[in-house]
Amino acid sequence: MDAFTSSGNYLGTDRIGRGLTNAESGRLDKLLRDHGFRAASVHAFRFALKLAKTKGRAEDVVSRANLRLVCTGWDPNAVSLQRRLLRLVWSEFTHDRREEVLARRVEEEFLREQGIHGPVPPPAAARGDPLQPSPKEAAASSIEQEVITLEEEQAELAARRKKLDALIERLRAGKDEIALEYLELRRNGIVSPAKMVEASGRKVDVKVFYEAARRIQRLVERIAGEKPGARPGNDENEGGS
Amino acid sequence: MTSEELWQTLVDETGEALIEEAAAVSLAQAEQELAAAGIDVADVYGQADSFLASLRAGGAVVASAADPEAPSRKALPSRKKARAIPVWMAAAAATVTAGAVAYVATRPSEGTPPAPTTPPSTATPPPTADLVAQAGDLRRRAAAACNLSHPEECLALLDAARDKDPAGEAREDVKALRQRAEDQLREIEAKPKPK
Repeated sequence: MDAFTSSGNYLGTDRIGRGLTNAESGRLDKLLRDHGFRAASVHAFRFALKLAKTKGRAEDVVSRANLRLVCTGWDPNAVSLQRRLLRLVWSEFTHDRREEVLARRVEEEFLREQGIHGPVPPPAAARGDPLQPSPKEAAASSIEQEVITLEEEQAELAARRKKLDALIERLRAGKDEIALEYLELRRNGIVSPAKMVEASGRKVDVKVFYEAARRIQRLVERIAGEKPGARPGNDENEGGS
Repeated sequence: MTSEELWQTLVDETGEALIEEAAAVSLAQAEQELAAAGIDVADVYGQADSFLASLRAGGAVVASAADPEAPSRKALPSRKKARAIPVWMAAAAATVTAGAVAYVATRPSEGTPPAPTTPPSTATPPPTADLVAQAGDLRRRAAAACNLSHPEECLALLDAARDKDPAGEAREDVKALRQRAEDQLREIEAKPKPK
């Protein structure tokens, strides 16, 4: 499989299951330069600094985002390089690995179509080297690998539950009743703040729920970047009503 | 909606809002904000250049037989040897940088002749003042990386600096820095691997 499609979409080393050739590296380099990689990096760094607060952490996040760009690819016809990098920065900051999981699923699907059964083990690139995935990776995973994958998925779900609990805890500490109600209504499938006003039975303006959503987003931004088990930072008063 | 789904939805929505906001900022404004935060914007550009340089350097080693212009595998450093270096452990710990990728990808194993892709320094035209300045910046960052015990990153930065300013490689302080990083790397290699 080529690293680039005919339309110029760069597939990424995870997808092609190998490292880049000289010609492909040169082409990726040119593609990134042509699409303003240097300027996009400034935007990415600014965003990372806003999220991570310190220069060291921002550098780390941007470095990892760059690596994931090589691993997971980029379709210049679908999204600008700047937005692609910003998204990767966000996903690195929040420790989100869904894209890798998605890439793995695509690969599994491909192998199923080829008549090769069994789930695919994590690609070598996901373990750190985007340019040198092992060419001799087994086509089917062992029982141990399946157990590890399952454990990872369960740990990921547990981490999400913990983060939601942390969010609720902080809203409770700030006595933000509206935000807590907003969360409960979202859980029940109500997305529109106007419908939330109705469902809550409160005689409040709809903007009260919009403001609650913004307070929640500020807290989510903070909690999402915290490593599991980290102590909450010194929150500003997010209290609502 | 489960708790996990609700959290992920909130993270996605927050991310979208923040990305929209960040994408709306002009380059000049972004540079200005970084400068105001005490960040050297030239350093940020330097990191981007370094990443691109590491990409090119790393790609040279993983060339496939399908690429007739690529150097022969026989002439390239042993992949097995490169994999033996516990750099990927550092990568798993999310501390690896793009520069580390290039270094490990291009690092020649002991006794292996260097890859034939590097042109002899005598054939290289003298670097411009700008290139020398960029190389100087890369070497400063390499020293910082070495101080933080990140030898792979240090060596990758030194390699990137050598590409820009080959003559600077002969300086005593640069040689000493490279030696120090290689010593650090050997120490890491010598440590037993966790099972």
